[in-house]
Amino acid sequence: MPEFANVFANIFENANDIYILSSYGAGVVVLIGLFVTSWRTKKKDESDLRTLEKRLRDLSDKQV
Amino acid sequence: MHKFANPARFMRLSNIILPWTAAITVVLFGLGLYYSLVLAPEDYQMGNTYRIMFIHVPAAYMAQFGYAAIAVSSAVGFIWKHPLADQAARATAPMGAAFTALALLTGSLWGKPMWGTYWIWDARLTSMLILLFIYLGYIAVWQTIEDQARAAKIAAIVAMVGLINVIIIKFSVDWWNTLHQPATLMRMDGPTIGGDMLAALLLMIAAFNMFFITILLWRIQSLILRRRIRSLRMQIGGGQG
Repeated sequence: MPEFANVFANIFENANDIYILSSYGAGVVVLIGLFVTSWRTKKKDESDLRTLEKRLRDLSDKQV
Repeated sequence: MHKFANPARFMRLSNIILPWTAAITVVLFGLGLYYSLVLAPEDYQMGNTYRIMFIHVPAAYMAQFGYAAIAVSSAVGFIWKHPLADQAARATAPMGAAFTALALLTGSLWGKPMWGTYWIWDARLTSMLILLFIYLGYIAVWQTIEDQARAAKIAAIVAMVGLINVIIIKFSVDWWNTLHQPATLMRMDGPTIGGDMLAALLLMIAAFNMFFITILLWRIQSLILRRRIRSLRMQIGGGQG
């Protein structure tokens, strides 16, 4: 583990660190952004579908 | 093939596959980052800055792969009226656009220390920027046309015509004099990098691919659910009216 920390620290110690860091940061933002938006959309659609199915069942029960 | 395009069957199958693709994605990203940031040695000319490549190359690869997938799905939807093909193409577009933007951004961050500029109207960079605009145009077609069948037809035509640009991107570094380096991996004479650098790059490409598949399955599931929601709303509206 200390070896990992050293290697990682060495990567970000010169003048071009900011470019490396920004690239990996942008990658993380895009991946997490896609993950979160897709997950939340799917959960919302599932919830909307359940609500509508319940309403449809209630309507059918009333008609019966 | 139509048998597997049944939405109910797709939902069942994708629910089985999803936990596996998600787990494989996490493992591949863990390994890929370890190789990219720790095991891959410093480059003798570019130092550590070359490590940007481990984000840039997979993003650029996914941007083009995503567009090719949209074009193929659109063609299948257009010609054979495959029920899930248009939905798969539509679900892919925002991801492709995000990866194109990431490739352009990381390319700029590579360009500044390597070429001394964030941007140049070079054939590869310009054709990638055009790809981003095509993605945005494709998404706009789906968003602005209410009739879904008509939107699918127009979007399919946009997708198939735009495929020409992906071919231009691929060969831009061979056809024109560009600052961008030639292909590193997909060459007739084999990759120009080796060892841990190659392993890191392949692991990151595999991780991006698995991530793409996982998110795509979710997004297609979402679009199928929305179709069901629309039909239920019509039923409820009809029943009440």
